[in-house]
Amino acid sequence: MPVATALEDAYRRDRRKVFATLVRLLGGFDLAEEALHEAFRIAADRWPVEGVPRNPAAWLVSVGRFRAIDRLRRDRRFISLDDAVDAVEAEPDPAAPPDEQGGLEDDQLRLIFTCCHPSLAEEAQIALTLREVCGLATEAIARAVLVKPSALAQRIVRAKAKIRDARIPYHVPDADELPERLPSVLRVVYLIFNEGYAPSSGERATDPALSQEAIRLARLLRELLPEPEVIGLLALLLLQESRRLAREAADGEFVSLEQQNRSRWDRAHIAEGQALAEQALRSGRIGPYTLQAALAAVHAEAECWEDTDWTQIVGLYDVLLRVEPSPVIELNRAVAVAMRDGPVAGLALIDALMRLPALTQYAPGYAARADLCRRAGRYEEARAAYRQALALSEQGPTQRYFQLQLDQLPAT
Amino acid sequence: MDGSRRCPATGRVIRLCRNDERGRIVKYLCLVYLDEAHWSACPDQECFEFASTLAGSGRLVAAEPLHPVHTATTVRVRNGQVALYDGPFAETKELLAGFYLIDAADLNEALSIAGRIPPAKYGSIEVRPVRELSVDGFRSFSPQPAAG
Repeated sequence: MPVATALEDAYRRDRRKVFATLVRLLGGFDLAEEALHEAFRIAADRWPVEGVPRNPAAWLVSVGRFRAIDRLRRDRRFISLDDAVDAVEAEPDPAAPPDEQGGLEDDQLRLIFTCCHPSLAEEAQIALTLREVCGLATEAIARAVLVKPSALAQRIVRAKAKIRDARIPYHVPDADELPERLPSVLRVVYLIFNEGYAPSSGERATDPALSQEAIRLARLLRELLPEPEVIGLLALLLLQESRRLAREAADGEFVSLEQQNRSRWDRAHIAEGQALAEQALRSGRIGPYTLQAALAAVHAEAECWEDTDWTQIVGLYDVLLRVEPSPVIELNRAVAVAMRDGPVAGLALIDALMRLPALTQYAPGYAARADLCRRAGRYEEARAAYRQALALSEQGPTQRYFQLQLDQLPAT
Repeated sequence: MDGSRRCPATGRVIRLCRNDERGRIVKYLCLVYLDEAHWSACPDQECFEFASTLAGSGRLVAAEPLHPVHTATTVRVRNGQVALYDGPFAETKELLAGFYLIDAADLNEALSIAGRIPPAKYGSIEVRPVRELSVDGFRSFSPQPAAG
């Protein structure tokens, strides 16, 4: 393999792993980031002469670490860093132990749990995970989460300062802590996926890059920590991702699940998602992500909207509501009830739900009501509800979708 | 007033003790508040000298400077579930009621202790890391816990 290719490969494949290990060895994000750049710079000088090392990741960790120690030594005449140097030197050489790969993987998990620590604000968790675990550039993250790059950079700097000053530990929670700590990790991955799948505002219907990043993270988590809910989350993301092409029309407009051309669904994603969902369900420890994956799997099995097994969908929503009570899930259940028992039955549920404070400003709620009114032939009510949905929506494609539904209502 | 009064219910005389009345010392907590603009206005050296003088007079129990508010985590326990929030407490109705100065290996241990502080069930516990004064030869002004 040419050296340039090996270097590129290592950069693409090992960069974040090496970073995660350097954070542990050097005890800080900024020091690790500098050491990582140094290591790749030296690799570019030395690999063409000395050949590509047998284990590039371990080589990069080792070189990065020694460079950082050198620098700390040179600097310690000016600032008192003796303790830091001693601590770094006390660590065993990461290139020495034979199980070095296992070590690198644990470090990635440590990095994920640190970036998703519940004492950081959710938006900081998302920004840090995308920056430090996925290695996305600050500008790309800022674009994706729709904040100014300067504001996002500030968010990341503050989060790193909190990790350092408040001493958020760099470790994977023990089995007894895991139930408390895993949800924030799963939520960050889910939010990253959703921001790419159904952006909360802006002009594009979807942003595939972010969803891909979330799936990559979920795969990594599943490899390192095969908990049922981790498997359930990966299943859910794959099943949702399978509909991406069908969900966005050629002109970029949003296409509802009912109207999607199901031959455009990605069968490979569906098969993998279904197998994972079954695996998670068999575990007997069934959480909200697994249940949502099961719901997505039922939709994936149906040839068309009308063929959907609505009885099973309603049943799954009933279980989901017991695990995670939420007005939005109640609303989805009401739509499923309408499909099973007719629009009037669904409307009775929705009208009661829309009086809840959590839903009075919720555009999809009005859209669901409008759709059921249309099915029941109550066109004037449908028109009014679509107008409310339109007024509450902030995202271009969704707004145009509601407008189209409004325009297509029969005149009364 | 002579420092005592009669209890209206029992008729017993209650002594209203002041700290000097029986030569006893009462502890006072002096809380330092600063806006962000003045966070570093006071040099560490000056704080160190004041605390040293106070310690010399035998009147200092403990003193620690804190990291800024962005390092804070708020812990609440509701229905037996520990909830963590980024930042200082937000409920303006909640007023300072006490403090614990604890030793912990890292934030996780500190949060786990904070979650067991009984009033966490009714109010909030703000957990903020203590920083070191950047003064040569600094020693902590807080009593060190017994080893073990």
